Amino acid sequence: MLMAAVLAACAPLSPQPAPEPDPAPPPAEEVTAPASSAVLALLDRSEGFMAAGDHDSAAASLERALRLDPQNAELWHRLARVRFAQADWAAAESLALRSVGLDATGALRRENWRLVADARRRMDDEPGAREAEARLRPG
Amino acid sequence: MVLVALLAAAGALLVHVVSLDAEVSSRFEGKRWALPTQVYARPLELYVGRRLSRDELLEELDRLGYRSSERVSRSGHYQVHGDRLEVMTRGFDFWDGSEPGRHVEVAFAAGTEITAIDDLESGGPVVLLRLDPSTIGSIYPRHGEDRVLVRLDDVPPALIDALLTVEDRQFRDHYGVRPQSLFRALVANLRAGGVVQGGSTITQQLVKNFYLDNRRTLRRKIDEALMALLLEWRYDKDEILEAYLNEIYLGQDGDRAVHGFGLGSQFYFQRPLAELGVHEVALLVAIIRGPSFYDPRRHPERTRSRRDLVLDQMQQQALLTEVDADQARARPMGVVDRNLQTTRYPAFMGLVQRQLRTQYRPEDLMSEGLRIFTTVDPALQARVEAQVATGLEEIERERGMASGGLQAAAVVTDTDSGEVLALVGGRNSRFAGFNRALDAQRPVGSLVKPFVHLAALEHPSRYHVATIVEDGPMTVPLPGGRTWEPRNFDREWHGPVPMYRALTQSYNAATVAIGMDVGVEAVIDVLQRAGLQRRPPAYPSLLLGALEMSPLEVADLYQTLATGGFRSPPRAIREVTTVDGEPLSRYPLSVARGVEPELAYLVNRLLQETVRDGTGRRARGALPADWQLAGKTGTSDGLRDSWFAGFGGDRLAVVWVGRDDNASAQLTGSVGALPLWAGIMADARPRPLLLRPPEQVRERWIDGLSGHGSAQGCAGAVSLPFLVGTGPEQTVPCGRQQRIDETEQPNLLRRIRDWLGG
Repeated sequence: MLMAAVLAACAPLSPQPAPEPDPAPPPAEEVTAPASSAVLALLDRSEGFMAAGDHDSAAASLERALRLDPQNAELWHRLARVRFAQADWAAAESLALRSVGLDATGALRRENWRLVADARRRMDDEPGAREAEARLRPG
Repeated sequence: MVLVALLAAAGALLVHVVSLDAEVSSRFEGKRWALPTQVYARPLELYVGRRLSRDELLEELDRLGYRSSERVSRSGHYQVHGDRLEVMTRGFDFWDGSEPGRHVEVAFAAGTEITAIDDLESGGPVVLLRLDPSTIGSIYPRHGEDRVLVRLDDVPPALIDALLTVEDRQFRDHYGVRPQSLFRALVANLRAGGVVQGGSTITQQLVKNFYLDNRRTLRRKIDEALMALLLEWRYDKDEILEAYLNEIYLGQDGDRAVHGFGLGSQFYFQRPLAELGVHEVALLVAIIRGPSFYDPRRHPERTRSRRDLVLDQMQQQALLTEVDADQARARPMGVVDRNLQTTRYPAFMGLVQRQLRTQYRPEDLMSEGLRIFTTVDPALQARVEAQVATGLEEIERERGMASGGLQAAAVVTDTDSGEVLALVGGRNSRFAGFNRALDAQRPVGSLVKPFVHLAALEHPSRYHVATIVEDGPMTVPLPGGRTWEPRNFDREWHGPVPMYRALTQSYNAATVAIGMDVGVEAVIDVLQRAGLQRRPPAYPSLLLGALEMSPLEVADLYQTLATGGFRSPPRAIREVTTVDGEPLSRYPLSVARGVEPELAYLVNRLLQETVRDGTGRRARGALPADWQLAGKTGTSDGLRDSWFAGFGGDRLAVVWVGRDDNASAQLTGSVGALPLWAGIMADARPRPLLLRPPEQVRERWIDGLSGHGSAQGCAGAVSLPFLVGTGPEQTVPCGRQQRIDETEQPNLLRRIRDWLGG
């Protein structure tokens, strides 16, 4: 109360409601992956390994691809899937979140959040899983 | 009686032979496993679009021992055709698969990037090609020996020809000893009253090599002959020959013995055995007779003569045509100057060994012949070493300091993966001295401040980046009735300031105010989540960095910011395999939650501002502005430690500068560490740091002085990020920068005054 009185008495600044937020500075530009053929080839290879159940080799191919194209959200997502298949829930969750960070509004978003929810459920984090599922709803 | 005596003698001989036999087999078997562990740098990957210049590729090929040649017909050779590079690569068995050797042509654009890679055999494009990795060191067995294991099938036929011709023509036929030559030698020795003549077969030479000392007594010769017979009885010719190829002593590199043709090839020619020409193979065979006497570096003439003699004998035995023999004799010896280095980059190897120790016992590393694939980038490592050395010299010169007093350490990582690309432990990188990057525990000073701010931002109802905080005199009570009065570096008080300025300008008092408000324990929580592996005591001085860490630990901490909140601990090893290529363990890309991405984003934006306009702005002149680097200076109490930690899109570098004797170097973070950091980042060439705003973050225009709302285009307005629903509630009229009126006291200030009881 005292504070308000002081504020009211001295008014070098006129309190106003906060204005509409200004547009953000331009977000990160999408840089086309220079290594696309190489990355596709490695992605292909990792899919083959996954199909054959060789998770370690699938992960190794994806890690190699990530070294060539570290901003590629799809690669992080695939690696998250591999870790999930290996029952490494914590890694799957973090890798999927990392993918989210690179592709927050794209098509991968839903798949990533679903993976996060599944992983959290496996780790007995029900509230966390529901929080992730909330992100699946549009808007 | 005579019979009994004979029987007794025979019995004794039998016992002796049995013991020799045991010795032979145990040594023969044992030697197979005394393999050192081989350590490799990261391999260079080539693909279209990779930012790599032709000269950089040449540098790597040179490091790998590739040779330029007229015709590229064998692996390990290349030819430059203007902007194109033709090369026959060596294959290599990596941990994740086998890379075949290929004959390719790589095209470059104006020295900046790869535009095409074509397979010259098939004519098609090559999508991805991995060069063989360079060796950065070996971890030796205790007795200081080393091997580059060669299989009989992989050895050039010319080597076998030369060897058998010169040393043991009847190798394939005899039983380990040549009775005639042995008899002749025996007679000659008896006549001379000592040992004068050789006559040893390859088998006998192999046996001789099993012994470390070199006694040449008659008794020894007899034992060797017996053991040679036993060896031939137990093992076949090929096994014996292969063991010989890997065992024969070929030279000395300081205190390190060079055994075997594989290592000999590296030692004298810096190339794999399979790539040697006839004249080079003949040289190695020539050296066998006496590596000190026939040392091509110290006694080139006589060694060359003996090499030519070997070639003569090969020609005589019709193993070489006259033309080929002439050509070979005409060639210079071709021995390279450089010696084998036990370990390149000893500081980085120190990290490798530490990370291995968590997985393996020392004995496993010494004797199993493991292959370790590490993360070091040799080109960048060399540049960072140079930057540290020259950077320190420059500082000493500019400030009139005694030369050699300063020391430094640096760590460079790939932020996406956490891989350590370069590690420097001191200004002299040649020797394995005190590894400051790993072991110098130094107060981090202001490097801790971003984490204090993070702890505050975890309470969005109380703090956002423009929250007004007081940078003024304060008295912090300490245990035991003492007090602490933190002061700013410039001895000034800045009064009420928006929180972000407290970070970008590194104000001490304001930081302590914030830290005491959220609690030192909360700050320690954040530090631990970001990667700190221990729990320091919660002293208020921790808020100003009275916390000792090594440069590597600092890198671990800042990695969490650079990734946008994910823990990515620095790692030096990608994979370990057995000598046959079986993967032994994985050091996978590890990503764990650290701090909330939204908050990491806020702090990272402020760290960008720190470089743009804060205490890190000295970097601006040296580095392109569009890299948008983020960073923090750190200066410890008494200016004893000068730090800078900063990152771009995919590269993080941490630099420490100081003195080993802990005397003050009188250097702030921006004067000492920052120039070195700038040089290192220029070499590291990071991707620009284009931060992606998370969903819950909105930009707002803020008046830089007062922290109240402003608008675009207004004087003194800056755009800052805020979590949705937070931010200043008041605005200022545009065009006028506003100082905060002292009578309008924010809640925070009130609460601190109340808490301090003042």
